[in-house]
Amino acid sequence: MKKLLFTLVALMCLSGPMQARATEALDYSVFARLPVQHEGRIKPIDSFARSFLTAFSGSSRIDNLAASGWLAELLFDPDQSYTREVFNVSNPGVRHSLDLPDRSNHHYTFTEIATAMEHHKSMVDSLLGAQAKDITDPAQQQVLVLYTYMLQYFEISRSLSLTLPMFEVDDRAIAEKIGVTAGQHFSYLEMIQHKATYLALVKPMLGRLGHDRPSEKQADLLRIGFMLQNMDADRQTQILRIVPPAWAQNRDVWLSPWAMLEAGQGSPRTAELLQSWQLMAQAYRNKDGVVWEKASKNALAQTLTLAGPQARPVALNAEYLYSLAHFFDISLGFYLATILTLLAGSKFYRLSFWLLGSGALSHLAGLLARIFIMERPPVGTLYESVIFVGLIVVVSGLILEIRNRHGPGLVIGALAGAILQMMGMAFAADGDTMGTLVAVLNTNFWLATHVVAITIGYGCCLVTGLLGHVYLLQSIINPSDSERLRATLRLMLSAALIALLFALTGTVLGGIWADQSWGRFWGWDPKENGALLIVLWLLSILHGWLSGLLRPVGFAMGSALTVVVVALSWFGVNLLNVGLHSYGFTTGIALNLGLFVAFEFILIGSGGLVLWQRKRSIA
Amino acid sequence: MKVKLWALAAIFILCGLAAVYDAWYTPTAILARPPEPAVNSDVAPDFSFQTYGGNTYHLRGLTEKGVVLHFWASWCAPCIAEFPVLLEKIHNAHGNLALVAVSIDDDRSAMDSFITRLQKQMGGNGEDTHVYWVWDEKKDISLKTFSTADVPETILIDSRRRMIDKIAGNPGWLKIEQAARLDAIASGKN
Repeated sequence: MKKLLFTLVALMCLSGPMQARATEALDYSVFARLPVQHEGRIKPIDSFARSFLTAFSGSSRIDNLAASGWLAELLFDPDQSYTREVFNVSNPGVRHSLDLPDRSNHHYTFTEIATAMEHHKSMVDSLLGAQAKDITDPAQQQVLVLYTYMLQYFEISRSLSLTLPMFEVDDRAIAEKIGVTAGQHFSYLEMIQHKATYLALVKPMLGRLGHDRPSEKQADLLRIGFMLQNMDADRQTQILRIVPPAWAQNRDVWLSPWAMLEAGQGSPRTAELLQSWQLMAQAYRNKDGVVWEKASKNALAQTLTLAGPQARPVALNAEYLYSLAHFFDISLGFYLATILTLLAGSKFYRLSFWLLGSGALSHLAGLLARIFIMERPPVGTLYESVIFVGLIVVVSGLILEIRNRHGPGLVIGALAGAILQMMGMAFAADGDTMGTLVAVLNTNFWLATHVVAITIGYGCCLVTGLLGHVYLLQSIINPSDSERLRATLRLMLSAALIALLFALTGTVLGGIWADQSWGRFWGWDPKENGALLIVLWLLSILHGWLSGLLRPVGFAMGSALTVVVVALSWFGVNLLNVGLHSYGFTTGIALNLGLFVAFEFILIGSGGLVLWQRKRSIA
Repeated sequence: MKVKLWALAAIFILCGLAAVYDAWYTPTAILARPPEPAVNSDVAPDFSFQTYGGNTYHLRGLTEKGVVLHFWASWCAPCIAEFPVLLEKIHNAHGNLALVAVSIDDDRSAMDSFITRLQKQMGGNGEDTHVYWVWDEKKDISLKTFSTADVPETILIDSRRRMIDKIAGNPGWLKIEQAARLDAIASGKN
């Protein structure tokens, strides 16, 4: 820890020659598409940048810089980046613990965070030494998260240090002897070519150096030595895996430039790739757009050649464009606009319908793009299921509206669509939303059948539940409009039957998959129990209705409670972190889930109570 | 009723097509990749080098069938340990193998004294005409051309001057598999 912080501070002081320069003129469109291996998959460097910048700052843009621009600055001009307010420290407890100055935007620079960590190193050391389960204070937990972010930020910034022009010799005579141009910056890769001459110069000088202050010439030489020594720490950088291995062993694991040299994976092709990155570094610092573009294109072509079939250029382009398109943000905008037009009154009815339809189209386009990029159905993770269920509910809302004009379809579609998209955004803030699936899920057939069926079932259950809410509301507000109540009841019944069809089919398909993967059809796993619970609940209310045990209000209350059953099966089971489905484990939603369940019980219960009292008073 | 039947038929056909497509198509991410060939088919760049004795050569100009391009340094313990065995292998290849031993030493005299010491220790085998000692003063061959910074690293080059494999570290040249690798490039059958 001490050594690391010392290195951080030393490097920040030493990097004097690396003057900050503005680089707005550069076009990042090719750079953004450069492939990198991160979290087990090949992605455009833009996605890598987005996931880190979002984690550090809470946003995918900073100071008018897009994620790729920010990453280019961090890689090629780290000094400038160290002074940019990137780290979002919203917890006042963390700011207080680290004595960070009060600031309205709660954003701090790398230098501020590193200095604060250095000043409070005893506290950080004690936290690092403690067991994770013993750290219960959220502020302390977030100090550790911030510490990790700081290390990641620094590691990224040093990933290409071997190509950065960090060395400089001012003295003309010494520069001539070493074989470089005086006053011109040069990189580690260039320095290493002159290392023999440099050592021949510096070794005799070290013998003569007494306790006196070194002359300017000597200081020039000593500084180079000190930088060379410090750069040894950079050899450990692994985070930016931009070099596909050129040799036969372990082709699946890409390497960072330093790790490539360390692992002995260099080849003539990787030498060319490194030269392109070095040119990019020079062009970035000189604001030379032409060289920048040419070097970026070269690096892209060289990486793709080295990667072979591991990287799909068309998918890299698609992912980059997908990130720019913000399909889900646009659809959220449409859903919110639909809610506004619905609130404005019936004169905007047609507009509301088309707004919701446009939102669904944008939503669908985002899902189709994800299917193309990931080459699998878009339902492998909790985030994806939220987005997928959102589309199911919106499309169901549109179908309901077509079947029953001026009915509850638009309200259900817009409200549920907006809420689920916002939930999706919260999940997306955790980082890469296209992460590699765990092995058991890596099968397109079962993802396309079992998981899709189950998630469509979730969506239909939500529609059923929302129709239940609408029915209760209509019964309370306008009990005399029996035609409208009957229409809603019919829709609710249809939705419950469709939900049952998908939930049951999905559950049975899940059993068959489990039989193939785990060797048994049913194992009372929490997720299996959750799916069964949904099926049993739907069967209960439908049988209650068919047998006459449940009256319309009772059936509506039961339907409304389907939302709770689905929430518990969908999210609640993941909180348990037990069973064979625990790969979907989630933290931090227990409170929200509990509040939601309590709210629903109170809402539905009080609705039922109002209707029961009204019936009693009429009787 | 007719419409419903058509819809049902369409669903069945779509499901059938989906099943056929799924059976035929395997996504890139989970492609069962064929076993990696041991050969990296790239042709080695034709670099020139000046030997310990002062002569200049080109890689393509070497007459031996196979070339062992070996990066080393006099301060590197694994390099020192593997040299006697490696030199013996070159000697026993009867002119079919060349060893281009590229030193990344910063100090030329360190390399020179190591070679002198080694040749004394090896007797006749240490002065093989198929061994080319090279001082890569400016790292033009090691770093600039082959991205090699650590030693020992060895690239095996066949008779068509293709880079067959790269070995990082001391592989243990006495092992049967390593001997087979050297025999393969010495035979010129690649």
